[in-house]
Amino acid sequence: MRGGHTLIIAEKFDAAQRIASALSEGPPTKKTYRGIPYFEFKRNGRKYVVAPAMGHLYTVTQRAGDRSLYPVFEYTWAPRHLAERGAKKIKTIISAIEKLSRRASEFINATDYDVEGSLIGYMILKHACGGAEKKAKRMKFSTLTPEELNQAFERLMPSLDFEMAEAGRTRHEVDWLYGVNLSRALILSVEKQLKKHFTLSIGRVQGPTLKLLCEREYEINSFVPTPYWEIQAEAIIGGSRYRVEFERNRLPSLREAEAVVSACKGRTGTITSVVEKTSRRMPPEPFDLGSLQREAYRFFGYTPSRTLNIAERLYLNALISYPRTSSQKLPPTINYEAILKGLAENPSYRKLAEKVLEGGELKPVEGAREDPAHPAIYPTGKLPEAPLSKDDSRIYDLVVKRFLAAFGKPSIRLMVKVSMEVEGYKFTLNGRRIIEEGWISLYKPYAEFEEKPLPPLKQGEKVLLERVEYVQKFTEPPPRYNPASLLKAMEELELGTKATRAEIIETLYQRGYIRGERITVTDVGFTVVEAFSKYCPTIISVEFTRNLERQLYAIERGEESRENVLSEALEELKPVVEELKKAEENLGGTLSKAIQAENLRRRLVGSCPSCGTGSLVILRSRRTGKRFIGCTNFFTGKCRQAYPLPQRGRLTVSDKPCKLCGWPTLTLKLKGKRPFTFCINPECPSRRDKS
Amino acid sequence: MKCPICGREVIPGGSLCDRHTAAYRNLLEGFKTWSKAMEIGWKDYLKAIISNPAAGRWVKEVARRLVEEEG
Repeated sequence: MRGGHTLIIAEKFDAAQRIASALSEGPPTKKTYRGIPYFEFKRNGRKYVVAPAMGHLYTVTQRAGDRSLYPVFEYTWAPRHLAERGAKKIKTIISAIEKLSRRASEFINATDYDVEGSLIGYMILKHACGGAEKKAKRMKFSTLTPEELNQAFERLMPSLDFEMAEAGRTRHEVDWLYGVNLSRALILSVEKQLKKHFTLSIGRVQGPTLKLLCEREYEINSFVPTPYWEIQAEAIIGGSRYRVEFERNRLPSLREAEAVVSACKGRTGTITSVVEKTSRRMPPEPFDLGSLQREAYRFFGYTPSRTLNIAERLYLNALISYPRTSSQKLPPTINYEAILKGLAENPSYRKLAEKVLEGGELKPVEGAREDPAHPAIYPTGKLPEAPLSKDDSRIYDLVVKRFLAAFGKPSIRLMVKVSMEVEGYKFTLNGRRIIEEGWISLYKPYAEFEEKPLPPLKQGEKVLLERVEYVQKFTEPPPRYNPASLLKAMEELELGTKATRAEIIETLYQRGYIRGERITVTDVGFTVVEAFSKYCPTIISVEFTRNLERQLYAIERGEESRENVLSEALEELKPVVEELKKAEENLGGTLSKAIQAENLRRRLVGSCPSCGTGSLVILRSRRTGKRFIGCTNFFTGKCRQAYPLPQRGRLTVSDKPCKLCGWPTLTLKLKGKRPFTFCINPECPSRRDKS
Repeated sequence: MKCPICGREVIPGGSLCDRHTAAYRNLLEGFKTWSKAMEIGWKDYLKAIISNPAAGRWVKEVARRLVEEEG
């Protein structure tokens, strides 16, 4: 072994600390270099230094020239502090790593084992460690538990995972080329019209995702409901009353509905058959990131990005495995028994874990999806070192119970279908009962089975249809996407990656292209999609992005080269940018109008109760610069109606009126605090209660 | 030429923009289904669409304009 120490690169501070603690023979020494912490320890007589990064320290940036113009196809990789505002700390982190690498003779990349992690480590080793990427080794792990970290250290990969780093590098470069050129086209076109800067963006994944939402919005906005009639009936069987279902869910005409009611109301019929069937339902497959994000939205209303942040935190606390995974498999190598025994140490899970351990052979159910880098998300079995926050404990509980449920037995239900005939019309009565709860008992409260027991009924028994009515209903438009269903659609269409989808959705909100939990596309969002559909439809087509995504995966597998993918992407991009340049004036015109309309809509509170002709909007005083709600007739002096507003925090007009007085409400979001909704009416009882 | 409902460009050879043209087409198609389902005249149909919460925004805008135009 050569002189000098071994430098281990970790992705974040928490990971560095866990790696150092796990590998050190005694407690590691925490040191700092210009405020940047790092760890030193000894193992088998050798000195090791663990240096944390802070995610990506290097980024793609323009090689030279004006950073607001386009087209731009010349780029380079540079330290983030040279390319981005507000990234000053990166400079110190890089110099700390440079200093620590000077005396190092061996290097280990211990960043997260995926495309982004591999790229982070590769760039640091290449640029901050004097080209050490060629000789560095790779540590591969899925949890930050001491056992797995030691195992990963003992079985170091002899070199970096260059294919993964290369795929990451290409993804960043392609995304930069598309993002910078197309976004600058949007920004400049608007700036020229409004003489003001607006942050707009569009990218390789953002575009098709927004188009998907626009298509749904088109369907909803041009939807014409169709009337249909539903038969609602109650039958008396053996002295008890039951709600029965008519053979057809929907009747297309009023005449048909009337005919059924007049023929069956108050008439007697007979039970024609009683069919019993047992059905088995297997446990749900283990969580990949997407299914965890969807389930967290369903039960707690957490956005996909919030769930990812929580899961990331749980991973860094060594409580769950690496969450950015597409796998639905739990290989035996994770040691089911050890995890279950660990969970049994926790009073909250003792009974459930023991039940699984006593249930015989441990064989989890698995889904079809695989990920070469990581297994499905699972709990490590370690006890939390400190009490978990509400958010963390909810996601942890979900992960633990899903893991336990994977070992559960199938749930067995008895389904009963009672068919009856009255005046030639068929009705049914459905019952269901659980015979064996199976995995449901392990996944409560996230899985429940609603029983509908029926007494023993026999063929030939008499039935009196006491109440038969028709109800007019209308077909509904397709549902709006919410963050969870959009995430699922993106997954199915292969838009983006597991690591980027949540962020793309957040960006669409931040840019003002979409709003609301039940997602509505704003006029700005529509205009962006319509403009791209007109001038360069390829950019927002799902096929284009999906193909590129597949090529990037091919690089990861070593089946495609970065050069080929980049040259194809550029070949596609260059004519598009030319088109956009030519259409700049038209594009700017329509976008500017949409932005102005959207800005006004955001500030519009409602109609003025005082003058009746103006509208209440959020305004700023010309004298003091303070914000308030005023009538649009305020500055002309026609109406002096005004209401004070809090001066700090982000205000949004809520779409729900006050429950107590019916006046408009606003939502205030202060940094680090929960959003607070208040009524603007100074006389509202809700405000009196507060004072 | 501008769409009289929203001020966007009308489609070539048409009198409404692409959004309101599509909505108008759906409105015409819908009337066929409604007439088969129940006895209803064109004007009552438009009024029913305007007050139906499931009807789309652009469809309602076209229906309102048609009611106004036809008095």
